[in-house]
Amino acid sequence: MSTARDRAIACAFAATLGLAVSPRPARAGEKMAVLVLGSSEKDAELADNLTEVLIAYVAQHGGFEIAGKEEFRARLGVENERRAQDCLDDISCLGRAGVSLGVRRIVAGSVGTRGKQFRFNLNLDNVEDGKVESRVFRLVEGGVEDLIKAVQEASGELFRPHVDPGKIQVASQPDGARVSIDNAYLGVTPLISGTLLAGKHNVRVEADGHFPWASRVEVLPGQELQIRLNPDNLPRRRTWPPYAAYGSAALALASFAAGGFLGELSQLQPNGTTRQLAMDDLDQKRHFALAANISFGAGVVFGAVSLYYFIRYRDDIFGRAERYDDTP
Amino acid sequence: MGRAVGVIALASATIGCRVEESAFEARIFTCDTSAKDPGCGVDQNGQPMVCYPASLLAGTDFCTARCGDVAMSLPDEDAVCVQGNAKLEYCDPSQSTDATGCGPGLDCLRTDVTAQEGVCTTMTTCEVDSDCTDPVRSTCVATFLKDLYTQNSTFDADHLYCLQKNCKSGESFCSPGQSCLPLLVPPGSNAPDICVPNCDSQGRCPPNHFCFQKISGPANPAICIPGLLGFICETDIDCLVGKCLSDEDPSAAEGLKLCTIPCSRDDECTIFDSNQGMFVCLLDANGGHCATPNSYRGNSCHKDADCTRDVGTSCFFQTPSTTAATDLGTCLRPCAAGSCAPRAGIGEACLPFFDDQGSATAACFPGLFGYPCATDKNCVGNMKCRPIPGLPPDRCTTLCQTDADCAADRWTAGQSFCAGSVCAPLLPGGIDCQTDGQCRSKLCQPPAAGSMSGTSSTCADPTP
Repeated sequence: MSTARDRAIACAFAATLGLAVSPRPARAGEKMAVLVLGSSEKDAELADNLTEVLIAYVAQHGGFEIAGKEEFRARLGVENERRAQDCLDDISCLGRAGVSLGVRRIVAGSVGTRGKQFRFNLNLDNVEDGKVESRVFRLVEGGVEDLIKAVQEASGELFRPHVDPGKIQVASQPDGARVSIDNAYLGVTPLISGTLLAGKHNVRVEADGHFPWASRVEVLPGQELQIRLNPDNLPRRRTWPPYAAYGSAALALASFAAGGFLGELSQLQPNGTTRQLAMDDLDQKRHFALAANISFGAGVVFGAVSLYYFIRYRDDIFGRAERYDDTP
Repeated sequence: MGRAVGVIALASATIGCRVEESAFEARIFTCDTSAKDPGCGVDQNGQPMVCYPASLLAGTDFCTARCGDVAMSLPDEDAVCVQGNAKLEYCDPSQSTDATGCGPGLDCLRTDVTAQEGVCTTMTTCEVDSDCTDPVRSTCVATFLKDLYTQNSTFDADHLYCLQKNCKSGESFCSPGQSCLPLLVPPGSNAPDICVPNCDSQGRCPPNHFCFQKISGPANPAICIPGLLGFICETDIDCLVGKCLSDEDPSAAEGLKLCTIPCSRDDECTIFDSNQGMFVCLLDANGGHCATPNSYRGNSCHKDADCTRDVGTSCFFQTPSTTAATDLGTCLRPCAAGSCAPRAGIGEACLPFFDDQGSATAACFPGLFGYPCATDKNCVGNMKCRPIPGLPPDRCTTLCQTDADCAADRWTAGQSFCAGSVCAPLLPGGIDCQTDGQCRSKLCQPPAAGSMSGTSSTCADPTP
């Protein structure tokens, strides 16, 4: 009954198993059942060999204890491939077989040929909660080696931990604040982001006339994180401190400049054709000196005021340095 | 807030701008003494300043602080108050130029050649004539003093001023504000041929000078006379030589204030002998001081009212004619009962004069050589009252053996010859003589051939 193609497949699987089923240390782990059925009777041998490949791969890479396929097939309690396939598609049937085998999860699938293509699907069924944890489907063109490679890759994908995406919902007072996540502008509040990979994300919320809010938040798998920003999180940015600070600084500079100019004038030698006229000039220079001192004093006062404003209202003047607040 | 303002005010006062008041006060401002308002303003105490006429001594008039009316030293203020109420800084002329104590633009003018005293003024001082760069005022007072006091090399002739001389002999005009001294004082005063500053309208003069008119009365010119030794003065500032002290005759109120120096022996004074007087050392309770009879020769006058400087003096004339405005008398003290007591140690003789009414009278005059006397006390110096052959009455003279003895005596030198045993005055023209040395003209002429007057030689008339 077996054809030349079947013989070739058998040889390829034998070589693969010789490589794959390498001695490995036994380790305590979950027990798992693996079974691949052929889509038709003529694919039964292919399915059987593929089961062996899967068992070897899962045992080597997943560290699972594998229940024997014959035992699994026996627990299914069916006589032919068709009936077995029906049981695999029926989770309740599969659950019973799993319970009897003492396994929690079962890798079950089917394989078939269509012209020069192989097609197979694999399910990772959880018999405890009756859910399919993961499933893969592949259409493979090429030889048996390509099929084996595709099956191995599919096996890795099958056991890759599945993470559910999350979302972030941002609301603010006032509305209309611009929201960026991971430096990508998303829109204005209120806003619900698209799906996000679970993990940490940088969220930044900006509103005109307000200091921005930024935070690094962690989105759990399947979580819809809600961020509600109140006015304390988006404090209003005052507009007058820059005018006051720079204005007083300008006044300080002007005062110092005026003081310097007047001081220079006061230090000039009094002139006059007579001593009386020179005294009058000296008197004027006394006034210059007094005015210079007043200017210097005013400069000190304005400078102190300016310094106070620059320190006290530095965020309003220079803007707030980027900082990550706790998520409200 | 108040504390902050206080701190700022204190900081401003400490480190703020200030006008350099002291630098301004130290600056020298020129001024114009002839201006109605010299424009000197007030000093830092608000007191009006004065314009000091330094140009009178070849300086530049400048503004200085005002002081009292009396010229005097102000040691507490390290200053000297000079005439004109001008306060000048005191300086020590013996120090180097930078250490004299005068500020920039000022030089230390010596005010006493016998002491290290000076005042700061705007002028370039001199020690020798070459220091005088002004072609008019080309003679340093040091030269004038050295020519005057030929026997004295001890005085300090530096830091003095430049003057103009030969105004009479050279017939040159003095600078504006100055007058030619010999043209304004009596010829008998032996005035040097120099220009002297005029007194200002209030009778004020620069340091080392006194206003002749102010002290001696309106009959005298308003010129500033250098305060030489024995000259009359008001304060020490007036004296170029020595200090201004009262002669205490018989009391300070009645005495004269004269420039003098202390002494203990005559030879300390005789080194100042000159045509301005012979000096003797008069011992008194305070030690002794140099004096000269010339101080008591009296000042010029027209009438008794002009005799204000010397208490008890009246105006006496040598001739009975006193009607002409140019006729000048001399302020002297009248004789008391035909005799005169020594004045401040200087013997005085009672000499015949005329009063301002033309009446014959007598007045006291220093008993110089050849003057009539009654006692030895009437004579000055070491002269005695002795009879001179052919010249009654007794006169002040000295003993001699030869003419050389008379020529060697400083009181009789140049005006006497030895007549027997006493020095006699030189003979006028026409009087019998034996030698040329007996004549004022220094020429004893033999009688002309065929002369009817006799066979003796006679003195020739002095050359006019």
